[in-house]
Amino acid sequence: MNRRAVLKTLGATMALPIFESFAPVSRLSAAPAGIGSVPAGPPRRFATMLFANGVNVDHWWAKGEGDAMELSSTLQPLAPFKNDILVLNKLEYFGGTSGAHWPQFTNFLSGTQLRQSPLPDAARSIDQVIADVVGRETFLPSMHLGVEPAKPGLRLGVPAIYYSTVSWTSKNTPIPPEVYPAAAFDRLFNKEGLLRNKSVLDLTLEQSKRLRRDLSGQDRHKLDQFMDNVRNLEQRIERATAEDRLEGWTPTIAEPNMDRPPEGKPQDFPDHTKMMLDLMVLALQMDKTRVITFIMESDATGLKFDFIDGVGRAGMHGISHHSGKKDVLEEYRRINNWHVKQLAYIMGRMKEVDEGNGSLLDNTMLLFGSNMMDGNKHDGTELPLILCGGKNCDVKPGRVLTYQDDECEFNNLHLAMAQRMGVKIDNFGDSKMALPRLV
Amino acid sequence: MQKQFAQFAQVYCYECHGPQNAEAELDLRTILESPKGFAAHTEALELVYDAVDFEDMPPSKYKQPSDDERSAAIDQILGMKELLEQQSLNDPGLVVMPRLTRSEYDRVIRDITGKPISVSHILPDEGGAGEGFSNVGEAHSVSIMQIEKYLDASKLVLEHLVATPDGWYWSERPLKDAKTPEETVENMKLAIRRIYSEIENRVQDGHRDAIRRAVREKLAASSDDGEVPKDKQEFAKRSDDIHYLEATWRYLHRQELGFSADDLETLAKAVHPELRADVLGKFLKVLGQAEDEDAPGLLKDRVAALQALPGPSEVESREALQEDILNIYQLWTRPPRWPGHHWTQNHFPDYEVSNQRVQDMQEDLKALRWPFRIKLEDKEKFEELYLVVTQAADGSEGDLVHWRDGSFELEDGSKVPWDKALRDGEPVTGPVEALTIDGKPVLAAKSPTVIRLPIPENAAFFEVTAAIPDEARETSTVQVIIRPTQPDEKDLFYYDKRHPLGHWKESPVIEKWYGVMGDSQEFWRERNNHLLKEDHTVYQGLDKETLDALGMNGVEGKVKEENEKAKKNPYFFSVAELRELASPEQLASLKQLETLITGMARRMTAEEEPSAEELRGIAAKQIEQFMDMAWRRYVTDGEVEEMLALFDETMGKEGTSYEESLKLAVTGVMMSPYFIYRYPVTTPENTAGQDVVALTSHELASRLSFALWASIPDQQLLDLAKADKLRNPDVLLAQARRMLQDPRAAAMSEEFSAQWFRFANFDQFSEPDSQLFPEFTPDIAKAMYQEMRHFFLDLIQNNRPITNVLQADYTFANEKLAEFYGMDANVEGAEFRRVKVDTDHRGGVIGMGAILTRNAAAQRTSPVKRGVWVFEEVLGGHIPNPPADVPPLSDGERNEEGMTVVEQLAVHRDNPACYSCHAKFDPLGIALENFDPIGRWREKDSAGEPVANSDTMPDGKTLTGFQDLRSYLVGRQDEFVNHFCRKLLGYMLGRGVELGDRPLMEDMKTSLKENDYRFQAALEVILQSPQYLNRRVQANLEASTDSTENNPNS
Repeated sequence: MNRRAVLKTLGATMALPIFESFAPVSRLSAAPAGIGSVPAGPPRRFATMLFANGVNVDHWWAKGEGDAMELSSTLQPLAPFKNDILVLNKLEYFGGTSGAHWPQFTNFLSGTQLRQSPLPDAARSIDQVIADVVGRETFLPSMHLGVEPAKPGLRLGVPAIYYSTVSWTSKNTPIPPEVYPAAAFDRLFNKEGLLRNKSVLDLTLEQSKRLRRDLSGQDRHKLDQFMDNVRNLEQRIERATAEDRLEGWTPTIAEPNMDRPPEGKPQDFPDHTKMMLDLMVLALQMDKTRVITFIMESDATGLKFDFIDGVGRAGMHGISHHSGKKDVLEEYRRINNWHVKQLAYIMGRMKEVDEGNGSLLDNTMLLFGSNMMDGNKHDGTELPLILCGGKNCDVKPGRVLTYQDDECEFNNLHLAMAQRMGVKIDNFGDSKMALPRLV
Repeated sequence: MQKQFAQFAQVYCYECHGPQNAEAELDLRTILESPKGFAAHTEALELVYDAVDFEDMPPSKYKQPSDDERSAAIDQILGMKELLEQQSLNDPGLVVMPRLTRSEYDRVIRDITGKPISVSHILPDEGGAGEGFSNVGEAHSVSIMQIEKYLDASKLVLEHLVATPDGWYWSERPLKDAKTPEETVENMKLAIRRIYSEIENRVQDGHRDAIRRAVREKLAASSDDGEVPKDKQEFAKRSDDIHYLEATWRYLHRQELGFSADDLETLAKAVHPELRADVLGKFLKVLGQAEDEDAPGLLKDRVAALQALPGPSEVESREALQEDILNIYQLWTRPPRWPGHHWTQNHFPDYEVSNQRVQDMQEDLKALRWPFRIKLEDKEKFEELYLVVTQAADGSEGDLVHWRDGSFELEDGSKVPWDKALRDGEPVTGPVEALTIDGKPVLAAKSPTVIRLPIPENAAFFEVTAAIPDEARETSTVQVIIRPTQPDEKDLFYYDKRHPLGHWKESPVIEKWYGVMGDSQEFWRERNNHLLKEDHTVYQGLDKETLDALGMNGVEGKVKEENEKAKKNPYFFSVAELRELASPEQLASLKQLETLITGMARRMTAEEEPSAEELRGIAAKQIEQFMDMAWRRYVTDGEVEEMLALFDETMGKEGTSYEESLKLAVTGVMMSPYFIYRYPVTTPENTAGQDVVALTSHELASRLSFALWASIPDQQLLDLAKADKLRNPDVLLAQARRMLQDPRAAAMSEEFSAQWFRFANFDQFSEPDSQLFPEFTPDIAKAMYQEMRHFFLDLIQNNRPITNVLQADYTFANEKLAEFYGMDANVEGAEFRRVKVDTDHRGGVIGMGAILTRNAAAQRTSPVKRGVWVFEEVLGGHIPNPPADVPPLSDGERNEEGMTVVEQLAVHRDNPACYSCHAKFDPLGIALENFDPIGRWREKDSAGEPVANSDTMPDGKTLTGFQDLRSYLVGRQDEFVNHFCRKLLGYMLGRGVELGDRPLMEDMKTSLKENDYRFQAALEVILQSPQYLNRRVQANLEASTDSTENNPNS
């Protein structure tokens, strides 16, 4: 046995990206001059609303600027928000990957290509990178919502979770979305319950240290990951105890203005979605967190949208493989349109929240879209994306932008958004530049 | 060797299999340029070997190596394989410490608490690794959410715990938070009521519903329109009672029929598989009282009628017997109701316009009168009037009623008395006496009677009052009704759904009705409510002192009342009777709760409270006991003390109960890494300097129980571990055999085979298009899951040949599934049992609904999915992901050109890029085309065309249909056996199978061959292998296919 080689392997596995999150980065000092400098006042927020399986491409377009903007039938629900949306055309997934489903979903925010392996293997996603910086100031660093539970085991030779999450704390650690509205609510507001766990977690950590001494190699690495996350939770508890606030700004409401949702997973899908959207608004408005991801529809899902008028009993994935059939394309369009309606709903609610310098929507970059264009072809050569809000985040909405050449790399957008959130990075994944012309 | 092969690969392989293209997900250049080479990519080495050896690669359109070059390359590959095999020969390999998986969590809680408590639905789902199993530690990541969810899970588990200083009780269902001793007592009372309620449900509701449903479905299936025929509806509704009566009839004739009075089980099952012996026992008990002097008359009638039925030798057919029973039953089971009960159900002809206000009617009925106002508008209908008095089904004739104050209202509004009509009318049935009371004519009628009256011309309404005269107040109970036609005889006994008229409050008749024949379902609900709400249920297990302390005195009356009621109603069980019917576990739970309540009562009335020190000592003992189980070892005093610190934190503080403080400590136990991880017990100090160490007895106990039970070791294993006996191979094998016979071994089927064959969540599968396939109900999904679960459980527990997976001549089914599959087998009831199958259509996994349905599209079959499934999961092959831009197949069975999916696939394979893979699996899936998208056998597709089920494999074998596929797979049995060994080894070890495991795999195969391919033969080879019995301490085995430069060993 070669000692040096063993140490080398250990060293490699110990270099967990998670440790990066402990580097003390203050939000203000992290901001470089120019784009990334965040003014005092209401904080900037970042949220994504992702639906998988692509769109009916014939009905996904926008033309013109401002009030004169023309919208396709799918995008019609956004008509009242023409000055709040930035339609981004021709951004592509890793040089235009197409292929099986999984290589272009779970890495949506990770900026990395995936290889086929039964172990989860992506990269720390941009929401987590942003949460490293802005999440330290809120009760929750980030929140991850969904409406379909993650599937267990393997699917087509890769972890089934690849089909239902886009957030990753580290290369090997996906974050499953929370699908229970009541649990999400408790996570935001059950401070008492959280505080009660303090001494339990102290003890857990104490025992973990002891157990760690008895372990070797890989086992130690596993336990380290466990301990890191116990510590993360403890930090959250400490933050909850301190509850310090930015000077000069307090959230517009101090108590939740909605009831705790009922226990369990709602049976009615539209209700479930609405509950999650309301929770998003509430969490952002109360500044409980500044980073949210919401997966409105899992990848390659058999979910049925037959509650929409004119949509049949076929599963979503089946519909997205429309084979050019007119009636199926129409169902596809109606489902896309339903998702856009949900976007309009949350934008409307966010616009109503006046934060002094503008609305909650103006202080949020809300990215809406899908991981492929035409679901029939799993087309990743361009992506349907709309960046909403962000007027106070160095974004000038009310336009349609079409990118070309090196600009088109999707990670350019991640980089541009992260910089606007005050994260000091120059590249992300295979980004070529921060996406130009957003402002 | 690696170097030489790299030279070959550079010329012939890198263009496609380099970093740029990495076709088929294979980048040989990167592998070959790394120091470890194929050591980290052993599966790639296998691929390369096959491709080069079979001359599949390089593809024919590319430059080909010479024969010499090729054989040299093959030697190099074999050399690398050999090297790897030698380097890792029988090495325990990298088994990363696993944490509790989602499904293990529930099982562990079940085994600690003894109750099927399930909280895992809130835990994140698990991935898989190694050979594709979730128990592989390497795959277990922990996010912050996982920690939060473990906290939530422990909180949910503790909602099931009642903790008092006298002991703990785990409740199957969650209870409320208890902050005071009183609240703890309330929780325990609730738990007791729930147990009675459970017994009741077990004995009653479930099986009654099951019988009714089964009968209804059977009747519906045999009719043309799929509805229960009208004349059978009553039967369907009352089917459970009728079956019990039939069983009673058989009991009466038991000697002739050859049943024993002691074996009600056999008798009940002979009538209907869902019929319960305990309910039948109660039936017989109630009916047996008919002999008693003071038994209700109806009960006597009922028994007499049953006795009067023809005996077994005279009965024409079972149908005829059931018909007879139904007739008797119908007369009996329609009890008269009194006001306030099911008012809307009452029979009220539309021409009877009086008494339409409920309140008025109640007043009238109390006054024992029934005023009629009959609308005679419809002349066609009303040619005559029939005044009817029935027996009200009480078996007593001659009840007196007075018809009085009769008059007709003419169309012009004027009124004429009924005197003329009385003169022209006549009694049709029964005794009638014409009287004059207070100068008015009165007809005195005794039940049952019918009086016919003519109607004068131009009459619009008829008014009359039926009243029970004072002298008959105590005895008369009748029904009165006026009809345009003569009623038949049955109606004179009891007029369906018509209110009785009589002194119902005191009427013994109605009391009897209510007590004996009332709607049992309704009683039942009422009964359940009683149990859930009232203290008298709890009363029966507690002593007087305790009752006094809890302020629960004075419930004896209720108990007595209940016992009386239970005597009369076959569906009504008193608490005492329920106690007799309790399972041993239920009885133990009841007794435990009663002990705890008694203890609690003593404490609440005790003069001195126990000292804090004393309570702490008690808590320490309780926590330690829990820790030993949860941590799967004997914990130290120091560790207990650590947990007690959590107890101390809140104990004694205002508003915190013993239970609450204790639960915080238990949360600590459940959040400990010692609970969450399956940690090795050998520490590095005593393994210093070693790469591989033998597992300790404790580690073996845990390894074995988590493999076979997916849960913690039981006491016997722990005792053997403590005595360090498990390292004796004979003991270990004996334990494994014992454990496989334990019900907990169901985990082997639910985890190992369910993850392998991917049917784990099939009970919730809902993807088939519900409009096209309404027959695919949630019940069918569950049944298909159970079929597979039972099949593998049986295979594992009864040590059957694993080749049965390919070609069994049996499967497992209940009535629903057998019917769904269209089996001839006579399968009745919801229970699953082994059934013989027609091997032309079923047998083995490829004929199982769950597999066929999951591997179909929503609206059609998918030969592709089914073919890939067979190729990968049965034969152990691997198909890479399809490339982008695959032309899609149609959604439905045919595309717009009318081509079937099979035809579309044929076109698809003309494309060489598609051919190489599709040729391997399409024929396998096409051979299964006789199964429709939800797994039913079919000869024709939905267009009515014969199913195309034939295609040719690359090896030239043409497969036509299910039978061919079965024999073909049997012909490739070695591949299946190899795949099975790989899967089982991966599952048992918790890691992927490595090259160094090849000899072990060979041993497994040899042992299987020598033992008729019986499952346990392979398992026992693993249990004796160095891989299983040892543990690699140093993380990584130093292996490399590069034997020249970088390998420090060379």
